[in-house]
Amino acid sequence: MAAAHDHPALTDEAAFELYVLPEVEVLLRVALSMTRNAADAEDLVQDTMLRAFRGISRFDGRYPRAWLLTILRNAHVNRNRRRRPELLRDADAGTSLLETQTPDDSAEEVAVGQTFDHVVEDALARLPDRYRRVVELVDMEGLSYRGAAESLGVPVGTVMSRLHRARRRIRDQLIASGLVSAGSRR
Amino acid sequence: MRALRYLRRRRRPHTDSAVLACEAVVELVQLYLDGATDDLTSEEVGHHLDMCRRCGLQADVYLQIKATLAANRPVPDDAVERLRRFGEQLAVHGLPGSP
Ligand SMILES: [Zn+2]
Repeated sequence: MAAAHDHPALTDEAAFELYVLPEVEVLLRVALSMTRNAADAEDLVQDTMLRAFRGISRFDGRYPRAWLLTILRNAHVNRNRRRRPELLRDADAGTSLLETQTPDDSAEEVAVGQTFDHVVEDALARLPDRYRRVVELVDMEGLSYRGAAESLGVPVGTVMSRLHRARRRIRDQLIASGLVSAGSRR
Repeated sequence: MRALRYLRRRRRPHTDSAVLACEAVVELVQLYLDGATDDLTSEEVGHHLDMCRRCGLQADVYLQIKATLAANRPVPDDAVERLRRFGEQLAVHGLPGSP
């Protein structure tokens, strides 16, 4: 069957191989940091791949990583929900706003690639040392808040506030460079 | 955590008590993406991100920043191997249980 992505000759299966398989490691890293548990992370990525496969015919081939991370986030919500079935409430359907929108809708606002990485690196380099150090420990080396706090000899709350402020600055830099939309900037 | 309790009280008035306001979600979204919120808060933040396009996009930007920063972090080889095999199966045979 033909798909909507950029390569008109591509089958869904080939598109999946081209766009999804190369991102497996990236997805697993992000899933590990979201779940803090190896088995959960692996399940989450598997869920994400299934959803991506089901949606691949509607994917236009632009910014596969951004597309997949949105799917990962949606899959994560549904996994939380499944763990707490009493909280199903009205959100039963589980198809989220972003997942049902046409792909280029969100891709327009979130560009990814070398430029994105470059702006992130640049923003990181410009951070004050005490902020950058926390980002290095948590995001680059994978320490927990507590681990970073012990390593730096500061309270966990300090790690959190420095880390969050640092990432907010990185995001501000991405917004300033026009790579992502301002959204709910604060 | 005192901050979390404080934010919990700042729910949007006159709506479903489970609906967190955007301003609370903006404060919580990074904790959520770091797996540092409790189950109930995770549920509420996740639900909000599902329903609110602005906060959802913001969360996605943070995930992309995470992905970029974590690029050189080692991942368990065996898990990557299993996931690759799972993906290759999908690409060759399609969804499990479908013809
Ligand atoms: Zn919102």
